[in-house]
Amino acid sequence: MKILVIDDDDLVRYTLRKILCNAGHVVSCAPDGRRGISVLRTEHPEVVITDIFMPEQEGFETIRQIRQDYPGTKMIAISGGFRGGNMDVWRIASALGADDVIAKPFEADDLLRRIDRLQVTVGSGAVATPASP
Amino acid sequence: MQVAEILYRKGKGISVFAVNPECSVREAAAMITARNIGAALVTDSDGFLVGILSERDIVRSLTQHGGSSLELQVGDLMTRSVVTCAPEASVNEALSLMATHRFRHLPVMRDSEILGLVSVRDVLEFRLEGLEQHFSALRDAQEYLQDAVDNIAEPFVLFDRNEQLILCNEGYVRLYPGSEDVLVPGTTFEQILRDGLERRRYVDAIGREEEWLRNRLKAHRNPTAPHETHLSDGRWILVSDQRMRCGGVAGLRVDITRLKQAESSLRQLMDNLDRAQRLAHMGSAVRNFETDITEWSRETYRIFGVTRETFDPTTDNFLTMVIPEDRPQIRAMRRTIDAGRTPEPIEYRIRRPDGEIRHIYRVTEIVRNAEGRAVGMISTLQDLTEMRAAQRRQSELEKQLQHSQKLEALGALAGGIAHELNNALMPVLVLSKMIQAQLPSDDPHREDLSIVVAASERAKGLVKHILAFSRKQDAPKTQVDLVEVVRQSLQMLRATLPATVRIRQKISPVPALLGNANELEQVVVNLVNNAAHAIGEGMGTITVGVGRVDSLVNNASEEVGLWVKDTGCGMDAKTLDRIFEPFFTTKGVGEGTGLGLSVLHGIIVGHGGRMEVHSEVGKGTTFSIYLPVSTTINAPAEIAELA
Repeated sequence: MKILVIDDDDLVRYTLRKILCNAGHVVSCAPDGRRGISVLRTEHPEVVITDIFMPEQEGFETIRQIRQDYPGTKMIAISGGFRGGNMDVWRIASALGADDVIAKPFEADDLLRRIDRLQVTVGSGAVATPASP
Repeated sequence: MQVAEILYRKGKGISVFAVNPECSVREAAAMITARNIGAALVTDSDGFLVGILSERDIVRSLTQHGGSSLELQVGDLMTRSVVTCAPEASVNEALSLMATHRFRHLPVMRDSEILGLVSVRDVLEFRLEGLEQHFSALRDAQEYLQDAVDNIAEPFVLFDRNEQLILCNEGYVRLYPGSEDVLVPGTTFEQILRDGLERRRYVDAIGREEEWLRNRLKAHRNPTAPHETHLSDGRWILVSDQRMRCGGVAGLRVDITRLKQAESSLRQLMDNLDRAQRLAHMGSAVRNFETDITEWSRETYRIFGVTRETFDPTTDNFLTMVIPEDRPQIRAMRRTIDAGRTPEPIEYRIRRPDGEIRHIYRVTEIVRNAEGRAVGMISTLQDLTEMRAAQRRQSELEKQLQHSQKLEALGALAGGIAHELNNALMPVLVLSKMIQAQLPSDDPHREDLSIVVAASERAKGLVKHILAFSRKQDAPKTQVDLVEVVRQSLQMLRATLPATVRIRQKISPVPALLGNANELEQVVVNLVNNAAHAIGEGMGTITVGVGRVDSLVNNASEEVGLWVKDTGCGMDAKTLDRIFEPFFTTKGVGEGTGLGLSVLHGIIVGHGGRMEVHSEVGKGTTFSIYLPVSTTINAPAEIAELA
């Protein structure tokens, strides 16, 4: 399965790539939402795992944009918590179109289980294709 | 009036004409006629009066006996019985004598000396002259009176004892325009009033004319104090009637319209001043040094909670209302005033009769006369009670705001740290476990990796607490019965608390609130554990209460309260200031992380509630939690903005 990981923390990106590759997935990475979207256009991943709080373009906007432009793509939002403010991050991410949410730090098995669950609901032929204009 | 005066008027050298009885009537008649004296005295050779020969005697004889009478002697015709009077006799006595004896002449004599002769004509002429003089004087007096009355600046009127108008001045006529024909001598007072009623002149009388007329007549007949009358043209008249000795009534009318207007303006000004003082919560006091009388304004009485009828604002009475601690500065102010100097403004407290304490700010100024001598003082007294209370509230709110801002900043900082730590923990946890899984079961590094994983898990738990404090992990909220939560928590706690700690419950039913039962349970458990810790190893009681609260913050909303009160060691102010800060702890190293209360605070704020603490060293601590009663779950505003 082609999976795109968007996270500004290179250690997190490294760890997730390792987990996913070991499980047999094809993994692309991007350090922020803007570059993540440009990878999405060329790689057409089936699943996007995105952090919420990032420089350049943060996760909420990224989720909203992907849900709008690539409605078939599954998304998992991950976050280590807020840097400030008083928001219900999970409810917002879900409301904007994330299919699942996981709090960092999480277990490798937990992530893989959730991806599997997504695959079941995705069904065959779910690829990152742009929505009709 | 004496007879002598008539003699004097008739001629300085009283002309007494006398003849002897032997003198011929013809001769005597010629003399009487020539002298135009009406009669002649008849005296004998010794000069004694023996009779009177009057023109009438001669005429009567001529009528009876013809011209031969002229040839007779005086002694034949004269009247012999002679009546005389003394010069001191009154004119009336003389006239009476002549009438009694049917004489027209009367000799005036002193002893035997003949002083003169007065006739009826003399007396009547004399009296007529007197009457003319009298009438003249009367006419003069009347003119003077009318002139005087006309010259009275104010309207004036005189009525006789029959209530008929005698006279009035121009001012009186002008007072009642259109009634000139009525205001003439002879008109009765009632006619004048009826004329006024027909012209609807008297405001008070309109609609009750007859009653008004009766009262007005009564007042006129028994005049007492002056009274005011309002005329329909807007004027005000002061009516002053005075009963005179002769039975009549003298009436003076004064146009007091301008006085009434000034009075009304003054009353309006006083009302405005009263109103302004009431709005400003500022009263005033004025003291006259000479009389030592102090007068308070209405607002001052209100501020002091007393009334003008029951409280005399003497210095002593005033001092009894000032609370004892503040009396010295009042006395100091008094000394400055007594020395004739203006004192500095002062602030003091009074205790009203109802026990309420009020804060007064007083500014005083000395009043001086033209010579610069201090004759009095005037003060303003401002009630600052509400302002002072508001200042205290504001100060308290600022303190609370500073505290919550501090916690907010700490929360943001902790949240940021937690975020970074969670990211850093990702590879540590995941990669350690991966390596561990790949190592053979007898590899000596497996044990070390287990330690790394365990340490990471601990760090993960710590971060979770930090996030709870900084409200970053929102637990799902449902309808929660706080009473149930508390009962379950206490049931669980009872097994873990020492037997020396007694738990009392003061629980009454409360409406359901929107919250997370697990989090609220965590709050109860932590607070009770803290309370038990504060009690330590001695005996103590923890009281846990639940009940409804009338919210003072927002009248519209209802709140549910939760209290945990202990009889433990209590906390000092310095500790109290910091207990909600993360990592602040009074427990020993290894006994606590210091995150407990800060996490509870985060939970309560996350529930839209607030948490208060009251503590006294050695007496114990009470934590009070107030949670709003709410039935709907509001979606965060951020979703609406981003979606």
